[in-house]
Amino acid sequence: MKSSARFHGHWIPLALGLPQLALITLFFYWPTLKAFWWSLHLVCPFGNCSTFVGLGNYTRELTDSSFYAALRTTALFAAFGVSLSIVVALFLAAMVELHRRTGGLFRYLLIWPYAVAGSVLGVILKVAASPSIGPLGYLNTLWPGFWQPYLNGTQSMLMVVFAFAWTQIPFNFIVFVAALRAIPAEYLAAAAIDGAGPVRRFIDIQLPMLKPQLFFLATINLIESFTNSFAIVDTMTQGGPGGATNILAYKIYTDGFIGLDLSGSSALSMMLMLLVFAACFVQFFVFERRARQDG
Amino acid sequence: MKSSAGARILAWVLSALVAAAPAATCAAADFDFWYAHGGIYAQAIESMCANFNAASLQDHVHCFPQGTYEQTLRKTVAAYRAGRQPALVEIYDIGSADMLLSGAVYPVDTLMQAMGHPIDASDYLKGIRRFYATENGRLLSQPFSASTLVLYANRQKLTAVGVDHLPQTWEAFEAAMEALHAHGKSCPAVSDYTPWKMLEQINAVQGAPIASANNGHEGLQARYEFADGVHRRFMNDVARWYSRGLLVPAIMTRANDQTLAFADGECAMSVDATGAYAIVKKAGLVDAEVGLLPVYAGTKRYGTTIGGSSLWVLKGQSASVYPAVARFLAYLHDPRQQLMFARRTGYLPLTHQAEEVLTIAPDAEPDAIRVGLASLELPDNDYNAGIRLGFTSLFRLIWQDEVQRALGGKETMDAALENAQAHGNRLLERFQATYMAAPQAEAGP
Repeated sequence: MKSSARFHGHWIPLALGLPQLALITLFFYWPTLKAFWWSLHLVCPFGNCSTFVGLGNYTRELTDSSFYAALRTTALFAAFGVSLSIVVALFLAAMVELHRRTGGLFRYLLIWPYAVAGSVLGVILKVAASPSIGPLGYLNTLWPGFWQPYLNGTQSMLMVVFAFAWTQIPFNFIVFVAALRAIPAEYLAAAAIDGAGPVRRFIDIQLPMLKPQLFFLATINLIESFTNSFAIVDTMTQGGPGGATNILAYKIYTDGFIGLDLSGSSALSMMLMLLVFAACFVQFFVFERRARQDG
Repeated sequence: MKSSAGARILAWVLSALVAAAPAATCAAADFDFWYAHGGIYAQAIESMCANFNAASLQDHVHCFPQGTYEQTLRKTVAAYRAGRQPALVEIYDIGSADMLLSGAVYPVDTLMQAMGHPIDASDYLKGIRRFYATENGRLLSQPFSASTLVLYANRQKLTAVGVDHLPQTWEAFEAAMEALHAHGKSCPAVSDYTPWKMLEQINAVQGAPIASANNGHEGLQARYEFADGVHRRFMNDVARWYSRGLLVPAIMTRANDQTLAFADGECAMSVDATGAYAIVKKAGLVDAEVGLLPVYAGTKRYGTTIGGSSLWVLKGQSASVYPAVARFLAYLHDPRQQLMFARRTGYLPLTHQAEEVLTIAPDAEPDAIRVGLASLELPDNDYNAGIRLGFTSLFRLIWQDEVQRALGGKETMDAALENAQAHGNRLLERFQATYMAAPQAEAGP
């Protein structure tokens, strides 16, 4: 980097970063500190009493079977949601890349769903998946009682996983398309001359070169599945039936906002934050390093 | 030069924000009332607000809908913590324990006494009074929208399958569902499988306990004890009805809603709140017959309990607001307002005077209200005054989760109820621990 491109001293960079820092402090650090404080106390909803209980809230959650049920649900949701998002986006990107002439149109079409908010999507899919009035309800005219997403836990999990993948695929798609574009055409041309078909070229050349993007997207999607999946679950299943889609983020909401259990909910959100940190840690220190070594 | 212009803009924005904050300073007798209804219920409330404002020279109430009962309680908590609470708020029954212990409440009886509109708790109907009053008979909030559970039946459909009388017992209810089912009716009865209907009311009408310490009315030491006894029997029956397609979940109906699934004629029977009557009548599609909530054959029938809300006055307003709040509460207490509200919504009238006016003009009295009032007037014991337990909204979700798991075949109904009870008791322990350190609520504003 040229030395003239750097700021001298500490004050100008700090001043330029200040608005962002102020926002982060206001909307992240301060609430996090507050949640941490609450997680160590038993807090009355109306805020006029609190008792210090140390790690009592944590031990209570850690000995509660509903915490592990939510954790299991979160893991299932994340595993299926992230794999589906990545596999489908990768497939679409590879297809578009294979046929560059028409690919341009599809590139735009496939990015559009990214603009739809999770809660809006939830409402749309809820109607689409309705067992009585939605298009999927047609299944019930073929096999009566087959499609019952509000009674059958597996089906409701499928529904929210599908909705989640829908929200993630466009972004993943953009990243994959850009990454595929960056692969020098000579490699592919050379392989083609040697007689490698499109599938062979994809597996042996393109996929290995996409590794950094794959790891990056897996982490981003994983964090999204921990946190931003709330809107989908809230509009579609409210965690049901029988807790089958009660992911940790939704349990935090129901405990804290519907149940007014601010302490337990805060303890849960601190633990969720640790999970997110762990995911980031793995991304930065394990995958990034390995990807760099490979590259 | 540029940076100083930026700083000026920033300063201007900041000062504008600061100036906007206390802009809520309004005329002395203005106050906010948050209510928790939508649709026809909200229309009725808005017209009461408008009439009060039109009739009053010095007072003005601003009525704001705040969404569902849950959302209203949540917003009230947030507003109170931020010091921006309304003077008056409608809170649902199961928020009572939180409100009573909040230290945020100006007791209604004290307020009305101080402002020269004393209320006599004995004005209220027995069923209303036992539900809202504290152990020593005080009314700390003003009863507002009260509803109870009744049985709705589609007369035409029942007659068509040879059921001439409304089922009085669960045995007869099951027989009627079977008859409907045998005649090819796809939805003999509908339910949304909520604990207010399936736990709280069923135990009340059978006089069975839900929790110790008089269902929590006697203090924070109460613990759930519903997993045996009549609730277990009823829920096992429900599971059987569910698996045989007799009692259809509301979510599987075309209407996707219990009240509407009955009102549009899809389902023949529905155990629903009296407050649902207005919707059934307004739809006007079915000839609805209303009867008492069934009980088990050979058991004694007790009064049902109430579901609904009451109005709480919150502390922290300027002294000039409270006389106006008291005048508004007195206005709502007036029999004419109660009757207007009852007729438009199906909620019950609350006081003896209001009930008398209703019975004098029987043609104007909706069936559901007549039956609901009769149901509340039945004999009571320790267990039909509703529950007063902490974290009830969370407990209801837990009960629903467990019951859904049992209906889905993931566990037995008995195990589901045991789990719900054990989990509920952990909540009660925590609630007790939370409020151990709470300051005792004082009476003043």
